[in-house]
Amino acid sequence: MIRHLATTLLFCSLITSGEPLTNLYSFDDFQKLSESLTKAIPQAKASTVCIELEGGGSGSGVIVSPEGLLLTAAHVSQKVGQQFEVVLADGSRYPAIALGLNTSTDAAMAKILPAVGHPAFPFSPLSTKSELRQYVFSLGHSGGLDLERGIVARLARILEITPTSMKTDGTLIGGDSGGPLFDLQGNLIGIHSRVGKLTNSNTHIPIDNYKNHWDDLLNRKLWGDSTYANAGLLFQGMRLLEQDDTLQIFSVDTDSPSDIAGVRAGDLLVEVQNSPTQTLKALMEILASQENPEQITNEINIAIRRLGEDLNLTLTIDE
Amino acid sequence: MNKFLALLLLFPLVLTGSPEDLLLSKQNRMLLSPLQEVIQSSSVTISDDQNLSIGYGCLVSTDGHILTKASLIENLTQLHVRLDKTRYPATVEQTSLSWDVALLKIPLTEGAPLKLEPSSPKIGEIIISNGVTSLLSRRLKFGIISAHARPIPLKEASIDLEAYTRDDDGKLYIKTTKPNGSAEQAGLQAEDQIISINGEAVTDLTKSLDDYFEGLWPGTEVSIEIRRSEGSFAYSIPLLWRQEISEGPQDRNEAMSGRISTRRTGFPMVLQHDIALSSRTVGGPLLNLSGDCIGMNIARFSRSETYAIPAESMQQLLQEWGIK
Repeated sequence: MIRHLATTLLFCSLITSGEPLTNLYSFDDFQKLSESLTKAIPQAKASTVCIELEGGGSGSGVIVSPEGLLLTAAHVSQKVGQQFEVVLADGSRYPAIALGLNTSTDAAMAKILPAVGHPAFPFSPLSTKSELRQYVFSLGHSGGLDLERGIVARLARILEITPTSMKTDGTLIGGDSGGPLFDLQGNLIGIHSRVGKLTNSNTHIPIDNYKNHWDDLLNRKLWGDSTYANAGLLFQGMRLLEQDDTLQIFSVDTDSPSDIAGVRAGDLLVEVQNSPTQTLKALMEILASQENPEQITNEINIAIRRLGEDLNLTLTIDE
Repeated sequence: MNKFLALLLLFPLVLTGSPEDLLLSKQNRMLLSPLQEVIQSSSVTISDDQNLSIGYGCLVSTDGHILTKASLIENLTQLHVRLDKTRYPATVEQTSLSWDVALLKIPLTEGAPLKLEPSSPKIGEIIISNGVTSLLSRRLKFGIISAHARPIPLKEASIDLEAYTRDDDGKLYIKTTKPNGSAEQAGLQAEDQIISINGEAVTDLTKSLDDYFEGLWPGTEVSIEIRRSEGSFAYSIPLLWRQEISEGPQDRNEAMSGRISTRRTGFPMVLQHDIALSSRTVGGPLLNLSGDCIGMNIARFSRSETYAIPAESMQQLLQEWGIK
C-alpha cells in the first residue's frame, strides 16, 4: 500500500554526519528513523545497567568506559561509597561503588568492581550536543529488573534545554532513574532524573554536568545543596512528593529513622499517628498538632502502602 | 484574574509542559496521512450506553467481524461502534478470557479489513496507533517497539482483607477484613496469624499477599490456614478481582501512570511499545510503517508501557473462532 522510496540524500547525510535529527520531512524519513533506532538500540542496551540497592530500591545506570565507570543519578547512588549491585543486559551481576555526586544537578558517578583480568565492558560514547526538537531515545529498567522483558526503549523528542536539565516526551517511570538518554547514533547525551505529572514532562541531566566535573566525580566529591532538585518534603529521612492525592516516598536517607524502621523508596506514606496523610498539607498539620510538649514522644507510628498492602511501622527518634 | 494567578502558582508543572507532544506535531501527522486512512477505514471506535467512546476495535473481515478488548465492553447493555463516519449496532459473538479479546459482528458487506502481519517486529521499529478521536477523525500517535515479546503473568486476583507484620514476632497477621466481605464471611478474623496460603507457607515477608495468587483467576477458591488462640483453622475463600477491592493507585509507579487499564496482566503473549495510550484508547490496531497490522492494543500497563496482542495470536484466535 505504501511504497518505500529510496532514502533522501539530505536525511542520509544528517544521520551519518552525526548532526542531531530535529525534523522529518517525508514519509520515508520515518523509515530512516526506524532503521537508525533498530541499529543503535542493541549497542546502547549492552552498556545500560540496572542498579539494585540493598533494601529493595532499584534504578538504572550506563557504562561509559571499558573499565566499568558508570554514570547514574545522585538520588539513585545516594551517597559517596554506597555499595550496590549492577545487572547487565545479559543478566551478569557485579558489585559496584558510588563515587562522587552532585545533589543539585542529580549527577553521579559510580564504578563497577570486576574481578582481576575481567574483559572490557561494553560502553557508550558521550556527546554534549543536543538541540531542541531533536529525536532521541531513552533506555532504562522501568519498574525494576525484568530480564524476560529486558531494558525498555522509548522514542523521545527534546522539548526544553537548560544548562542543568533537559526535558523530553519519552515517558519515564520509577526504576528508570539514572538511566541513559541517547542520540540516534548511540551517543549518551543525558541521564534520567525525574518526572512531572504530564507524560511529556520527563527530565534528564545533560552530559555537560558530568564532563565539566569529571575529576570531582571521579575523586568522590559530594557537593550541591543537599536536597535533591524538586525533592518535596524531608520527614525523618524520607523524601516525599505529593502526587494525585498520595504522598510518594521518593527516596529514604540511609540510617535515618525511616530507613531503620523499614521504609523503602517507592512506598506511599498513608498515615502518621493514625491520621491519613494524602497531601503534604495534611502531613504538616499532623506534625504541627504534635508540637504540644506533653504529646512529644520519641516514637511516631506511620502506615505505608507497598504493592497495594498497608504496613504499620514505628519510627524511633533519637533524643 | 486572581483565579488565573492562583493557577499559575499552584500548577507550574502543567504550564511549563509543552501544549502538544512534538512527536504528534501537525507536520508528522500530515506525513502519516496514508496510515490515518488505514486507521479510519479498518478500525472502529466503541461507544458506551451514554454514547461516549470507551475504546477501539480492529476490523478483521470484509463482512464486519471486529476484535476488541473484552473487558472494555463487559458491562454494556447496548453496543454500538463507529466505522469511519457510520454508526452500527454490534453483537458479541465470542469471548476469550485468557486473551481478554472479544469478537464482535456488525452488519457490513464490503469492509476494508486490516492486513495482519504476523512477523515479529524489532525493538526500536516505529509503530503507529490511534490516539483520541474527534467525532469524525482519528488522531495518530507513533512510537517504537520497546521490549521483548513475552507472556505477561496473571496478577489480577486478591482477597478483601488487609494483613500486617507484627513487630514482636515478625509474623504476618490479619489487620482487618472488609465488613460482610468474602474473607469475613468465610470466618477469617482480625489478629489471625496467617500460616499458609494455598499450601504455601508464609515465610517470605517481602512478598505481598497478592503475590501468592499469581496465575490464579478471580473466582478460584484458595485455602488460607490461620492460627488463633483456639487453635489452627483452614478456610476456603473465593478470589476477587483486584479492582473490586481497592480503587486508585496502589504504589508510586501507578500513581504517576494516569489512566491505566483495569485488566492489564495475564496475556499469553504481548508486544510492548511506548505509545502513551490510556485505558480508553486501547483495543485498536498497532500498525507498522507499511500500514500492516502487527498487533492489537490490549492494555495500558504503566506510564511508560503499553501492551499489544501480536498479529499471529489474533490470527490464531480468528481460526479458533472459524473466521478465516
